[in-house]
Amino acid sequence: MSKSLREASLSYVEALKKSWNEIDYILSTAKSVERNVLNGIVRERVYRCFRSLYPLRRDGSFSIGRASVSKWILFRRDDYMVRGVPVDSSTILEFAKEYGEAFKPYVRSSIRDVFGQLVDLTFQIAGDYDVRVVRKTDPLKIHLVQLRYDAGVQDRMVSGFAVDNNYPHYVKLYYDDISDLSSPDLVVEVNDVRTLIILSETIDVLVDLYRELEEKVMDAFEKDIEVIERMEEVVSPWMIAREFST
Amino acid sequence: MDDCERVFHLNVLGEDVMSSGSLRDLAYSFVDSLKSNIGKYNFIVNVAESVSSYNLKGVICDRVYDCFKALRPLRNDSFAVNDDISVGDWIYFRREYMFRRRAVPSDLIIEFIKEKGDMIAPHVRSRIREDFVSLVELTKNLEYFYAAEITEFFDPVKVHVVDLSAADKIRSYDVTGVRVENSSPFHVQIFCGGSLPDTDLNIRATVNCFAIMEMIDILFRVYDRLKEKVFSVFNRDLDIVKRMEMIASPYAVAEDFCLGSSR
Repeated sequence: MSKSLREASLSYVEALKKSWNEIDYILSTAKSVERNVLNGIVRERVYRCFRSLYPLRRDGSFSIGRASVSKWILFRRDDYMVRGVPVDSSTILEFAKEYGEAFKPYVRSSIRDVFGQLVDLTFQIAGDYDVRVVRKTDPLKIHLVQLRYDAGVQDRMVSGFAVDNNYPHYVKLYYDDISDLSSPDLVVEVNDVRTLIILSETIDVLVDLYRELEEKVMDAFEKDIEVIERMEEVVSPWMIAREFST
Repeated sequence: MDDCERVFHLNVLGEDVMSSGSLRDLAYSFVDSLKSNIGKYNFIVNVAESVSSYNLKGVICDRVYDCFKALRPLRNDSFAVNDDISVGDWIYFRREYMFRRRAVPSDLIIEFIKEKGDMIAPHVRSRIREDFVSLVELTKNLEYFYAAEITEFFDPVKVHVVDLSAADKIRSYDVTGVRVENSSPFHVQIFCGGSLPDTDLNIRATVNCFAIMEMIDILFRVYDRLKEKVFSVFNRDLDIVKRMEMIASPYAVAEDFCLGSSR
């Protein structure tokens, strides 16, 4: 009996090796579509574009609403903040979309046009990338293998899968009812070997799920990157000048 | 390392990928075999839990300590046996680096009594002296050393460790021997051809699940031998402790009554 366990384990590991492309695809996609990371990339590049125009004004400061502009921008995220804080990569998009238009006439004349173009392009950036993908399937048998305490194996039937790019390493599983997506029956982490069995048992669905997630997220992200590249083109003289000056 | 053993890092879904249906089937058949062998795995884990030398020493220490504790007060006054040991209600000792004497704790009782019991015995109160001496004699008979190890060598057996967070996700070893020690019973030391262990596997870590399952028979045998070896000594000590408890039981009962009446 146990000889067959050894054989079963060996052939399973061999199959894993051969299917590693698929597992690796899931793991690498989960890494590449993470919402925070993509948002960070976009915001950082937008920030660098605006920052290359520093100083925005030579003298004095001008305020509208929760923002004020002098050499750089001070911005209050909400009305509860007493003072504005210098705009950084985390707030640049909010500032540009909310107050960019209003501040156009008040930045120094030599950058006024470029500033205006940047603000206009900012409106084309979608950002955020909150994507969720859901699949309903015929019931699939999975096994929960528990080794740590009182080892045992439990069988479950799964008929729904959901994954989002907020926590793309976690797949939510639903046993029968997927009407309430916020309460999954089981959450498994794809890069955890404890769920390798479940990963193997549902590999088709998961590859499909991650492929759709990647497509949706990357479509939006790449569109934004195109806009940012145009922004970078617009400010490239200032960026180069800045490089030389520093 | 042949092609098969290499870890693949391709983002493109390759063509020579085994159909996922068969991966699923093989996962199912692995789980089925696992289910039918889970008893063996549980046996290994239970043995590992029960043979820990640290735990066994603790059990014996506590019971021996209770036996001596039942004879309290050892004296009605305080008496300095020498500069470092005094006997009063209980036994107090001092080491070179200690400023004051401290009560002998349960984890030191056996070593202390083995070493100094004869010196203390004449100074305990006369009504318990005889029983105290018997307890000291029995304590000296305790082996109180449960360190054991089992090493077994065999023809090379291929095993795999799958770790998704490691750089090399699937590692394979040609295992020629295993060693388990009850000082660290959850770790299996693995020999891959040499006379020194190459690595060790924690039997409760899921990353080692495949390696453990691929060696389940060997490990079952080794842990069974470890259990036998450890418990042959431990059970002998346990018999001695039971005799000590027989001697101490009237005092323990009397103490219970006293405590009961004072409540």
